[in-house]
This record gives sequence, structure tokens and C-alpha cells, in this order.
Amino acid sequence: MDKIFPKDTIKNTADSIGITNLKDNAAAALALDAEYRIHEIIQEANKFMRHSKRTKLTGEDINNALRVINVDPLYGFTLNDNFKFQRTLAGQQELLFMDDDEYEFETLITSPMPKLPAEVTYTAHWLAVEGVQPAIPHNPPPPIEDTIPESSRKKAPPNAIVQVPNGVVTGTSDIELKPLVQHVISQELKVFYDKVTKTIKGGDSKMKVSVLYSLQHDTGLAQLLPYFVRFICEQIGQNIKKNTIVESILEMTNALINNTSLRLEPYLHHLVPAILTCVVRKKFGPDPDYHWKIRDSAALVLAKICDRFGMEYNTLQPRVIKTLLSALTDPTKSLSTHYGCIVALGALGREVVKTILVPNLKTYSEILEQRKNVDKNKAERCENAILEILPKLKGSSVPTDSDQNSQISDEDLQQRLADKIGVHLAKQVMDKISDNEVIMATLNC
Amino acid sequence: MNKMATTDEIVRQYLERMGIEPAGLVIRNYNPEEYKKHYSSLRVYVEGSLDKYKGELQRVLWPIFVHAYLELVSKEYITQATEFFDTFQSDHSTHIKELKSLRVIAHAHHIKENELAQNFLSKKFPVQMTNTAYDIFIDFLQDKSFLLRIVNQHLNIEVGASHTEIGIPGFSSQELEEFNQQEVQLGHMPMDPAMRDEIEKKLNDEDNYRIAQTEAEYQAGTDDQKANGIVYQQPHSLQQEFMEKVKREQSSDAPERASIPLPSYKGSDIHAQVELIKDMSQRIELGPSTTLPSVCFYTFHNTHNSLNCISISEDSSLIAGGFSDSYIKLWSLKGEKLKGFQDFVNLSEINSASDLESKRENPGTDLKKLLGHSGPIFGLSFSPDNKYLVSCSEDRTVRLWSTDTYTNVVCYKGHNSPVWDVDFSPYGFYFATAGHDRTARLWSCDHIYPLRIFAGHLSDVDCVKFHPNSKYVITGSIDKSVRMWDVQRGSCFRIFSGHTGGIYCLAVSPDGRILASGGEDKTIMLWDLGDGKLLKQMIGHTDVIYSLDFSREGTILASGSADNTVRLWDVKKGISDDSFDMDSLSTNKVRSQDSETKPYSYMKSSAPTVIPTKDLMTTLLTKKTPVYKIYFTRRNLCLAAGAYCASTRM
Repeated sequence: MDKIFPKDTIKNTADSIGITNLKDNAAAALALDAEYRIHEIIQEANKFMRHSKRTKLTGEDINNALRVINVDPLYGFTLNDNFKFQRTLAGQQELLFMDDDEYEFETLITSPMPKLPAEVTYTAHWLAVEGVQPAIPHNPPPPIEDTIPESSRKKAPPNAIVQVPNGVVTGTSDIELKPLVQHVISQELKVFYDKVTKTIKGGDSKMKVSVLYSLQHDTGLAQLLPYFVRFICEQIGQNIKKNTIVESILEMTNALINNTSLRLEPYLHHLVPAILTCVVRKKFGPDPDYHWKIRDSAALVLAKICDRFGMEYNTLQPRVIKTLLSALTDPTKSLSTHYGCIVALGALGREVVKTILVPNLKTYSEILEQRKNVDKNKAERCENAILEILPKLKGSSVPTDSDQNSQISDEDLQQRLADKIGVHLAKQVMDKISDNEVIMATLNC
Repeated sequence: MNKMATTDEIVRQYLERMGIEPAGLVIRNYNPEEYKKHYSSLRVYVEGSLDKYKGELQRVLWPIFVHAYLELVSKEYITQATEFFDTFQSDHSTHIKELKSLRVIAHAHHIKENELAQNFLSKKFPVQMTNTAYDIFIDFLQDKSFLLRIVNQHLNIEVGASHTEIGIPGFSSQELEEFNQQEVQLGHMPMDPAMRDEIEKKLNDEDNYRIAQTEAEYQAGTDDQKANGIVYQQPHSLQQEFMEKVKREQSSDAPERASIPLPSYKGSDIHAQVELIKDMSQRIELGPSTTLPSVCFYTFHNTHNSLNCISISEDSSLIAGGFSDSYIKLWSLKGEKLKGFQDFVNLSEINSASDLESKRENPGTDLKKLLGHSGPIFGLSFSPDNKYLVSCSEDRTVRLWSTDTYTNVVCYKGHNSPVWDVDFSPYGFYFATAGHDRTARLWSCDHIYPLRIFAGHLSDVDCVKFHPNSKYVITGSIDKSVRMWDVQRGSCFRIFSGHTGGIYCLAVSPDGRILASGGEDKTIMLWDLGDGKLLKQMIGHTDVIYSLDFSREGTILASGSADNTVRLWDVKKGISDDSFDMDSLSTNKVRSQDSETKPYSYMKSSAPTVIPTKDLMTTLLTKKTPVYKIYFTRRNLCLAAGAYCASTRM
């Protein structure tokens, strides 16, 4: 067995307590003994760890071990914090040490007491009912492999049609690469799915609230996710003209996004186009005014998706913005589409408004001016949307020329604003936004 | 370095260095007292060595004992020889046969005739040791020329690379097998006849009442029902149940009542038995082919790693947790408030039970904190009548708590190191403890000192469990062995060795025939208590096993582990099928070798690949919750408990 302690360590230690002439063989003997003692302490500490049903050795275990072998315990190492050793180089040798912060007694005493830790409590749940684990939030989602019975995998016939969860049916030749994904879903989950879809399609509002709550908080839904996504896409496709249930669908999507235990990433490419449709579609629903509301909420959902998954997929947000912007600057698109784009860009946050929306307002101002004569009502909607978004810029940048601003006359300001966002919009802004700061912020974009 | 260097060479080199002629030593005569002195010094040394090497060092004791004795006899120090033999023979209780044979050697000329003695003298006794153990041993022998001589002359120490240590050192498997042939009584203890009669009477009353009730219901039923052919059904007779399940004919291997004195039964005992029968009649029959158990899991939150042990009372009304902060917490599982007594109760005011009830706290609390220990709590056990809770702690004491008043009733002192585990006898009154001081002890509630001390384990006794008939206590130790002790005689009757790690949990099947043990080596082993043999190994867990329990019929074994799973095992499968058994053994060997050579491999690989044996029926995953306790209720509902471990491994 390799010796852990070289005799130099012992000599160094001896030096530090004033014994300078320790002989080599004495140091070697001591090293051997020190190693034995350390082994002994670890052996005892390990027992305490095991009986405390932990898998990590703590300072407390070492102290208990020391007590058992009649040695004074070491004080100051029993905190449950994770100690981290730092590395440093002293001369040639690498040393490991622990951060040891200094505390002022004064500040410690005067600082407020830390909160009492929460009381130990217990909760009960069914881990298994007659040997089968129910899919409830208390239980972890079962590993996917387990849900596919081995027998069905083996039985996959050579030219089978692969049924993938999102409902796309493909007959493929590279069949040997793909297993037959026959998702086995428990009866409970099926019932749950039926209940959810039925309620979303038109249940009473009380029921809907609890369904949405469940979608947002339950952790056992992973298996149903592909079905939900398919449901959302289908329903938006089918019902966009009727628009009666689109709002519920959006709420459902929102709930699923908010559920932290679900991994939505693989389904984004299905979800995002569907939501975008709700934002920018030219026409939907017989009700002439209802669709504005839907565009608003769809824009919020879209922004939420970008917000939550933007970090992981850094191309997601740019792609969404590109789609929105190209629709906005296209004069042939309807004003309702424009409205959706404006709202969505606004929802994506101040940075987007500043760098994308405002610089393009000058072009859009002209489009709007022309359209206003044709469809005054819708154009005003768009105007109002812009006017509502602009205050978001407030406080974004510190005006560099604040001194001069105060002296600028209203006419001058309007002129500058017109250069920035177009004559038509500038007029509106000057009329309706009294806050100078907003105007300045817009100018500074 | 030549790893296979023999002792001879080293010893010779050493002697040369010391300037002693090797031959010169043999002639020197020793004072007979020296044998005892040196042998006991070696014994003390071996006892005090690290657990890791203890097993290996232990092996030299037996041959040295034999040779010391033979030399004493050959030199005609007969009284000293006998004294020596009597003092130390208890160390070698597993060599019963040899001991008997040695015992009769009383004269020098006997040695020449005795086959065993000749065997020892003619051949060098082979002892296997690893390098480090050998180094340590030689280091110890440096200044002990007496022992060195015996080692040199009679022992052949084979130094080799480390090998997996299975079994008890100094025992050949054959010796162990013979040792385990000793007769044991595994049957159920017969019931007190008077008590049985009273229970039968009670059950008869109960049955009559039930019949009357069902009949009344039937009479009240409409004529339609009768027309529809709903037939009057005789309710299942409790008395019948009792006959079938509890009152067995005295089996041939049942212990006598007198062998375990118990206090005479009380009215409440009768009541408890009647309740038990009622529960039994409602029991769900479990089995691998019929129904798998339902598992109710209790998750403890905000424990911050301070919860050490959990226990559930026999009637599953209370759950107790032992904490490293020296206190015990009691919760009601029925959702009722726990009501202790008011702080000051004037005893003179209390004349009846109702007076006493009126002195209870109102409205009571959700949990009770039991304070008394001064160190982490490591073990808890409820008495079978649910009236008491016994706890053991690092502070070396064992305490008895009343679950009526929620106060400490007795403090038992006796262990001189931390106490790891405690278990109440299935008939109450007695309990057994296991401790760091390498002993297990038997206590009765009314004595503050231990009644029996079970000594023999080479290292810490980590767990203790009563046999269902209360005649035996089974202990598991970090020395990798399981032992069964007779409560009355205090001696060891079975030694099971086969685990490759310390043992942390034990369970005995309700019929008292099968023992399950599990622990550090992540395998569960099933042993036949009757013939002392390994029935099978059950592999599947990926971390230390904390708790085991049999279903009430003994067909299903449930295990809880640090790998955050509850697993259900088929007890019968694979026991009769030999080929399967061999299969599982070989896979286990491969696995254990892997872990030996790459001690850190498990940390690197994200998913440890363990091929479970085929008797694993279900694996139930928890959410980051190691399973501390598994318990089957009388109605065969499986209760499991553990503390949620929020911290993620960095």
C-alpha cells in the first residue's frame, strides 16, 4: 500500500511546533503511525455516517469518531456548508486551503437574527398501488424506456409505419433505426387527457380554472406533453376562424410553459408557428373586435416562450423577430396583422422595442398614414398600440443632452421626432403623450 | 518487492540482524506463565486493530492458541495448560470439534497419539494475508520473540494481493457448516392456554354479535332483494380465522413457554389480540402471482440531513423520527392531535380514569418532541402494544418512552460506546440493543442493567432483530457476518457469512424460517435459519440498503435503500431453481471485482449498471428520497418512509 504521509510532512509538522532535528527514521515511524490513526478516524467516522443514513461524510461524523476514540473533537468544522478547498502554489508545492472569513463581532451581533429553519414535516402519498406506481406529482416521472414494453420493441415488423407522438405518420425505409414508439399511457392519464381537452374545448369556467392550475403545477404530465402539443396545434388550425376556443388554447399553452417540470424544448417547432399564427393572421372569427384581444394574449405567450427558451436556443428570438418585422414593414399585409406584430414586438421587451421597433417606425408611419384614410378604425388601433408601447422606453437611457432638452420648443421637438418616427406618428405622439421623458427616450433610440 | 516473500525469510533476516542464531531460540525454555501473557497480548493487539485488517489478523490466533497449548502440555505444565485452554477457548467457539479433541490431551505422550495434534505439528498452518496486514503483523512481532518463534516454526503466512474477504476468518466453510447444524427451535411460541381460552370466548362473542347484525340487516332488506336472489351470507368467522392463523398445533420445534419468562397477560392483551385477529381477517393476500402490495410513502421535509432513523408503531398510528440533534419527534399517522398530560397534575384529585383523561392537554399538538438523549439518535423501536418507544443513541444510553404521557420512563445504561440499533421483542417486555462496543445486549423493561451480553462479533454490531418467537436475537455486524443468539443461554447458534460489506438491516419471515440481510454490499441475502444455509442472493440495488421487511405471509420482501428506491422481491422464486442461483452468484462476482479494482468508477459513470436478479418484481422510484424504513402493516399495506434530500450533488 502506498504511504499517504511522506516523512517530510511529519518533519514539516515537527518544525512548526519547534522540533527541528527530527531524525529520519523517527519521522518515518511517526508517518506510519499518523497514517494508521487517520485510517482509524475515517473508519469510525464512516460508521457514524452510515448510521445517520447519509452518503456524505460531515465534520460532525469526524467529531463523533474522535469522541469514540477518546480524542478531543475539533471545533469549527461542523457546519453543514459545503467546504470548498482552494488551490494555491507556495513555492513549488501545491497547497490546498479553505477560505476562512473574518467576522466582526459588532456586525454579527447587530445583524438581525437569521430566520428559523422550517419545522420538519411529513407528507404521505401512494408510491405504488398494487405494485404500480401512479403518475402523481409526488412520484418521479417514470424513465421512458420503462414505458415501452420490451416485447413490443422486439416485435416491430420490418416495414411498419412509425407512429410518432405528434401525429405525423410516415412510412420510412430506414425503419431499423427507429423503434416502434408505441406510447403506453396509463388509464389514469388517458382519462386526465380527455378531461383536459374537453374542458378546454368548452367546459364551465370553474372547471377550466382547476384544469389550468393542474397543467401549470402537476409534475407527472411529461408523458402527455406530446399529445397536448398536438392538441394545441390542431385546435388552433381548426378553430382560428371561429376563434371561440382559441383563447382557452392560449391559456393552456401558457400554463404548460409555466410548468417547470416539463421539457417543452422538443416541441417548440410545433408550438411557435401555431402561436405566431394567432398573432399575425389576417382575419379570424366572425366577431370584428374580439380578435384584438387574442392577438394581445398570443403576443404575451410568444414573448414568454422567447423569454424561457431564448437562452437555450439563441436563434429562436431573432427568427421570431424577423418574421414579425417583415410582416410589419410589408404594406400589402392587413392592418390587423400589423397590429399583432406591433403588440408582439412590444411584448418582447424594451430592448427589442428600442432596437427593432422604433427604427422602423418611420417607414411604418407612412404606411399607416395611407391606410388611415381607408380603414380609420384599424389604423387607430395600431397607432394606439404604438403609443402604448413607447412609454416602455422611459428611463432606458440617460439623456446626454438633458440641459438642452428643456429649452427645445415643442415645434422643434416635433420636428426631430418626425425625423425619427415619421411625420404622422410624431404628430400623434406629441398630441397624446405628454411625458417628455418618453419622447426623449424615443428620440435617443 | 517480492510479494510472495515467505515469513521464514523475513524472520530469518530479522533474527540475523538481531544477532540471534535462529536455532538458538528453540532451546530456550519459557516460563509457563509467558504463554498466557503473550497470547493475550496478541489477542488484545488483534482486537484493537483496524476493521479492515482485523479479519486477516484474527486468523493467526487459532494456530497460535493450539501450538501454545500443545507446548505447555509437552512440557508437562498440565495445570497451566488447562488454565490456558479454559481462559481462551471461547475465542474459538467455531472450532468445537478440534477443541474437544485438544481438551483430552493431558500428557506429553498423548500428543504423539493424537491425530489432530500431529497434524498441527507436522504441517505448517497456512494463513493468507495481504501485504499491509502482513507488514502490520511483523511490525507487532518485532520485539516479541516468543510469538515470533511460534509464527516462524508453525505458520506459513502467504502474502498476496488483496482478495475479496468473504467469511469469518479462521473458519473454514466446512467448520461453519457444521457449526450451523446446531439444533434450533424456530416454531412459534405456544400461547398461554388461559389466555387462548379467553381470546376464544371474546371472539365467539364478537362472532355472535356480527351474525346477529348481518341477520338484522338481511331482515331489514326489502323483499325485492330477496327475490333477486341475494342470499344470506354468513360473515367470516373470526374464531375460524384465529384457528387457522394464530392458534397452531404445537410444532415439534416450538420453544417452551417457560424458556422465555413473560409477565402474565392483562385484559388489554386480550383486547389487542382480538384486534389483531380482526385486522388479519381484513388482510389483503399478497403474492407475486396474485396482488402486489400498495406502498404508502411518508416523505419528511426540512430535515437538513439530521433525520437518522424512523420507526412506525405496530398499529401504524404513530411514526417516530430520531434526529442527530438528540431529540425524537413523534407524529400521529391518523391525523389526530397528540395529547400529553398537563404540566401539573395533582394526584390527589385523580380518582378515576375519567379524571385522568380530563387532565390531558387540550387541544394537544401535531407532534411531540421527546428530549432526554445527549447525542444523535440511531435507533427506535415501538413496543408491540404501542405503549412504549425505546430509543438508542450516541450517548451510550437506551431510553424507554411512554407513548401515553410522552415522557421518558427509564434510562438504561450499560453499553460503553454508541448504541447503533434497538429492537423490541415481538412479545414486548424484552428488547435487544446493538452497539459500537461489539456486543449486543438483551434487556427487560424492568431492569436497568442488561440481562444478557452477546459477545462474539469482531467489530461493531450494527443491527439487531428479534426472531418472531422471541427465543433468538439476530445481529448483523460490520464484520460482514450475521449471527443468531439464544436469548436464554446467551450463546451463538448460527453464523452466516457471505456478505462482502457491513450489514445494516435484517428481517425474519413471519414463519420464522427465513432471514433476509442487507447492507453495504447492496445485495440482499436470504438464509434458511433451519439448516443455516444461503438460499439466494438478490441483486438490484445500487446503494446501501437501509431497511427490509417481509409481507405478512412472507411471500414478498420489500427493501428500501439509499438509491432512492423501494424494491419488491419475490421470496420464493429462484430458491428451488438451482441453475438460476448459480447464475446470480456469478454475476455478483463480476460486479464485486469491478468495484474492487475501480473504487471510484461509480462516481464517474452516471448510471451504474447493475443487472438485477430475476426475482426483482418492481422498482419504485422516489423523488430524491432515500428510503429509511419499510414496514408491512397487519393488513399487509406497505409503509415506507424517508427524508427528502434536496441538495444536488455538485
